[in-house]
Amino acid sequence: MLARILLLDDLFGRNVPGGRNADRENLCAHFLLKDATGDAAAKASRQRILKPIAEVVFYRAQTPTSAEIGSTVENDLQGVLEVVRRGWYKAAGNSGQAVVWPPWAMVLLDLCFYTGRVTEESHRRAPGMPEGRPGDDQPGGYFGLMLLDAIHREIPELPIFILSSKSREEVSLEFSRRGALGFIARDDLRGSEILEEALGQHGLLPDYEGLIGNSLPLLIGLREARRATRHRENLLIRGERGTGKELLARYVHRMGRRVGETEESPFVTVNSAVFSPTLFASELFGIEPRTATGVDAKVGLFEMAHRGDLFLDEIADMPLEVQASLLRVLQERQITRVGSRDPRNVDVRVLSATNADLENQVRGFRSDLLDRLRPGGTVWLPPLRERQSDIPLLVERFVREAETQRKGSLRRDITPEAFETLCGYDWPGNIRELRGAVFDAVNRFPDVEYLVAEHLRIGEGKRDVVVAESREAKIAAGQLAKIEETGLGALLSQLAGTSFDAHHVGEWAGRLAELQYEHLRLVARMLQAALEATKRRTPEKPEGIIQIHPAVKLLTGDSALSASQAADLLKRLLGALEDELEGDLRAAYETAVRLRPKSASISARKAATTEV
Amino acid sequence: MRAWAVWRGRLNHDRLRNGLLIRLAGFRKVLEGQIEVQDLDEVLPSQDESTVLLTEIAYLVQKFPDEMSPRALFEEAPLCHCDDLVRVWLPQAIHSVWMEKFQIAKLLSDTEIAIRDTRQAHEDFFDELGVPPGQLRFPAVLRPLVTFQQQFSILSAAISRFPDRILPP
Repeated sequence: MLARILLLDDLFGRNVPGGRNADRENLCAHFLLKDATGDAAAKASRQRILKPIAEVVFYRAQTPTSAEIGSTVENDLQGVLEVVRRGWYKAAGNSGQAVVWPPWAMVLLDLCFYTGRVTEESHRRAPGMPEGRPGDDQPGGYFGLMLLDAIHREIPELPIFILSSKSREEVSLEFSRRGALGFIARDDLRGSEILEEALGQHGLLPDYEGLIGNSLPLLIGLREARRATRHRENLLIRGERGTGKELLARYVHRMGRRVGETEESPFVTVNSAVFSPTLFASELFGIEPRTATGVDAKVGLFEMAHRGDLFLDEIADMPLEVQASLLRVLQERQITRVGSRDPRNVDVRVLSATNADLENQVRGFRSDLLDRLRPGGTVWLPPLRERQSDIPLLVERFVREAETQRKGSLRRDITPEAFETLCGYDWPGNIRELRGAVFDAVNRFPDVEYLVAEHLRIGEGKRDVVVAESREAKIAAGQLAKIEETGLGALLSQLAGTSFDAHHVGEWAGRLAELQYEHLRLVARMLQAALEATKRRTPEKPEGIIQIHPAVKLLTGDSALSASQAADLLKRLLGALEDELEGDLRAAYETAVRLRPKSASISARKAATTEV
Repeated sequence: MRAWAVWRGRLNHDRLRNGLLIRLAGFRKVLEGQIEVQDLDEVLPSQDESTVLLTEIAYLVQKFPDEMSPRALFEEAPLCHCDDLVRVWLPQAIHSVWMEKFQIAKLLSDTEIAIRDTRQAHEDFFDELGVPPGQLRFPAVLRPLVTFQQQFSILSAAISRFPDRILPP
């Protein structure tokens, strides 16, 4: 499969009498593009490009697409936008539908579009070419810049390059201002190299070998990965569990192969959690042989990965002792085998991966090591819930894999209802969980021709397990224990250290309801403290009597709050947690409901997602 | 836009950059083995085409001072109504200032050199290409082709440097 480029111009996208468009063939040859327009001109082509860098779809941004002598040619903004949309929203899940093909990898846009009547003379210069109107070939009147504006405004993520034989200087400010990423001179002798470089840096290209999918979040992640491979620097890969971080590391490895390198460079992978504080040195750096003691030589992981990549998975689980040693190697680019005093130079790029918040890890991850692990940047892999349109492609692939693995099982189709079920779940375990669900369905029902919704076991108790695991993991890591032991101070420092920077947006987006719910619970606990602090205590009732009005005033800091407003506020706040209220909070809530029975009650779910 | 500028646009933009240079680039890819074609004759560059183009470009450059000097404005209204005495000396004086101020002589001589070098590259390339098709030695053709492409690119850039309107001195 090849990436698809849309090329908009007034010359090459034109249908010409007789079908064959020699100008278009020449342009394809120059840029090593395979003509995928599918029209008569493309079919009539007599050349074959052996290693095309991409497919190209030509579109004449004018009407009529096939002009003859006497025709009047006009620019067609709406027609162009339709073509752009067709290859964008209906592809790659940008419409939320099943993926058929990837979206446009890039748009190449001409500047000058000649309009007006096709005369004998203009037709002789180029078949179907109009004679042009004043302003057509003046920078201020370039239709290409108008198209650039319109396309970029509607689809800002779509990479657009100017492809023109006009002077770059006269439009360089305008095309940058309007959102184009660069300018390729049509007659540049290095045309195909420049285009290939532009595609690699800016194009939306799927990974045809590892990570399956054409959705925009994935394609943007892949683009970030390609950009990071320009310089052979260490790179950090982040993403939730099961998103395919190792596959992304392999992608980086393939894309980052050195120029002119013919031999396969090594890719060595290891889980950082397996290192023990006592044995890691021999694993990472190897062992020097000793004839006296009979110790055999052992090549360490760094030497194995020499002139290649070392992939350290689950980097957050690396013991502190190992972190210190790794830091030295990354600084000095040298290792010393166990039992030796002679350092050896190693040329290794370290690709590390984690789903943990390393910057705020309570148990500690060395910040100086973190800096050394990401001089090439951080690449974020989106969770599956952000790329649901990839689910059909993934399911198709996993079903075939499962059928192959389970010899004798029938080849099956997947019903629309099954897809609907799969797309309606948010997959906290991401692709690994999806794969498991599909394999489970195929294994349990090997003798059917259809995979139906009823075959699928998804999300059964998974949420609870995840939450429990997460809590267990946190307790094990000492996080919750610390907060509970040291109280408010620890909580404040934890909150102060939590960053909500741009990199986290993808992670938070699908968990907003969860975040809001936890926030609500936190506020409820603060209210509980306020109720306790404002209790009216008497000799008869030494344990105190709760007072809603002063407590809510204390909580909100609003001394002008009336008693009925305080009751309403409390009712709305605690209504969202109605099922789990106990003690003073329950008593306060019931009092507020009794006092203000008519004000609207809000369901817990709704309040959790919309009110707080 | 002046007729000379429109003419320059047709030659440089339409026929040279969008035409000949793209065709030469495609032919080069064939020579380099990146493209297979059914019939080599169909992609062989036409000597006539580049000869005619070079001749027209040379003529275009030669006509530049006549067409784009402010002196030309005295042939048109309203300056054509100046009295005869003024028209004897003023147009030529303005032309001289224009030539000096915008270094037109240098612009012309640089372009003429580019035309001369392109003609030489043209001859070298077609000499090498002129052998019977069966005896065509691709590596031998490649070098003069690359030079030919480069010279045409230099020439194209040189033509682009000419102003597209009459500049006041």
